[in-house]
Amino acid sequence: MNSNGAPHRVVITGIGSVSSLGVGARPMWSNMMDSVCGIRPTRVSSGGLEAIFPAAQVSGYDPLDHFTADELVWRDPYAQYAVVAAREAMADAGLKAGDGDPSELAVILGSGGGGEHAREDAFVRLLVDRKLRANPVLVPKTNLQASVGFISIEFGATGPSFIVSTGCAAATHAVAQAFLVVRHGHARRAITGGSEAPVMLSVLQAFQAAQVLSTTTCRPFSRDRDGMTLAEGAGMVVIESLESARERGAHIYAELAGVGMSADAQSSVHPAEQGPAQALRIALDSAHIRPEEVAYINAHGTGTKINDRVETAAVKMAFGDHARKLAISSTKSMHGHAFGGVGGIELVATLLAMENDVAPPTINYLGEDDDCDLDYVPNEPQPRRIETAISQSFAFGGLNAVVVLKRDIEL
Amino acid sequence: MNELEEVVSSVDEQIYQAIRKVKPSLQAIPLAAETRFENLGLESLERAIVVFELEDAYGCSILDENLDTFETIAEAREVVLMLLGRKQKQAEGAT
Repeated sequence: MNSNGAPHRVVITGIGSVSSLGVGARPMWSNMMDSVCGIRPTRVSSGGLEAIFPAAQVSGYDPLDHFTADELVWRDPYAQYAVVAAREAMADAGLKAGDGDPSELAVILGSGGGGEHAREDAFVRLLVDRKLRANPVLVPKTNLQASVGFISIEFGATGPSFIVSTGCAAATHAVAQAFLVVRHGHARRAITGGSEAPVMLSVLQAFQAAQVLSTTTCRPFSRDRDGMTLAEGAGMVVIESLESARERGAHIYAELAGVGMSADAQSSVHPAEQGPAQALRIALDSAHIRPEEVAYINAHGTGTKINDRVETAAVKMAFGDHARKLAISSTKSMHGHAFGGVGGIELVATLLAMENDVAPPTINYLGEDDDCDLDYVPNEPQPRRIETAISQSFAFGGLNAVVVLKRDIEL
Repeated sequence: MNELEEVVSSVDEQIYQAIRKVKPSLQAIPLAAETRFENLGLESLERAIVVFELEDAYGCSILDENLDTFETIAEAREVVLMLLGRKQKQAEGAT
């Protein structure tokens, strides 16, 4: 509670990202403004097998630019990306290790799979090469919470720290948890977001078998869309109580004004519009924002037939007539789908959209689809005033998370 | 260098490689037979990885026989040589 006995207002004071659009939030944004696509034909091989899929690997990234060789023995790519993005977000917030009470800094991240590269290597070693023993570093490298541990150690954060694993919605769920932790005074600040590194043969084949992968590229909400494209990366923000940010004169990107979470309770794979619509309504209610105030939605927009149809229906259900006035884009068309990290990347993109008053585009868009008839910001960025925005993520199992951002903190 | 000396030198080199794979920063530090593992700043799990790498290199099991208690590189070499000798005897017995 703040000095008035009310829950704390929560603001975002730092951003960081690693993606196929570059290392750093600003390079990513610059590429988004140029409608650059980070998705490319990507050769993956393992256990003597090889295949080519459209996918989005991190560009311009050399691990040794960021870590010592000793550190890399322990850090799978998903954990590396998390740390690099967290460093950027903390520096952007004007914070460094040791600033403030360490017990007041939380680290709450999302990841769907943890150290997938090490896991695939171990499969090959044990099941293909038939070696009897696994590398002792396998567990510390593959566990889902390794990213949280590395960041808490690096910044000396001893506050509430944990991983959230809800697949494609993990980072957004993590941000929602961090919001609650700061709002209710369990920590003054949090590093939150998510990371993922699933571009490898076994994961790509699993998603191909599930018939959700595109064979071409990611073209959300477009006619002739044929699926998602996997990606690697991380997106992180620093959030803190409004009092904390004001005390230290920090730059405030936006207020994290509310969150909404829900489950469809319908199908383990097929989304239903009621669940996301419910999460949207709860998020708006908790932010005390009317639907008509929202200008931009960074959509989940995977590029699968069903997601984009259902997401469009959910937005209509939650926003009514205002749905047609919204700018809705899926930046996955540019940076791909980094599962448990992508909500973080999209949150960063949303904050930069607000900062610049520009909706980033949905690229690879070929034209309207019968099921998708809203304004998806096709192919080119769209200048427009964005005071209030939403970033939303939906996962297999019908698990939904929505965050609402508001620029004017005086209101 | 006689045959035994060559084997000893090769095993020592393999141990150095295993240590430097686990902790690449030790590349710059001279290693010798008398080097003690406790002086290399290896955590217990890093030490376990050295054992793992040696097992992999020689196709033998150090851990299953509780032979991972060596304190110096020379002692680790003795364990590897003993296991290699045993493996050779078993191969000869089989033929």
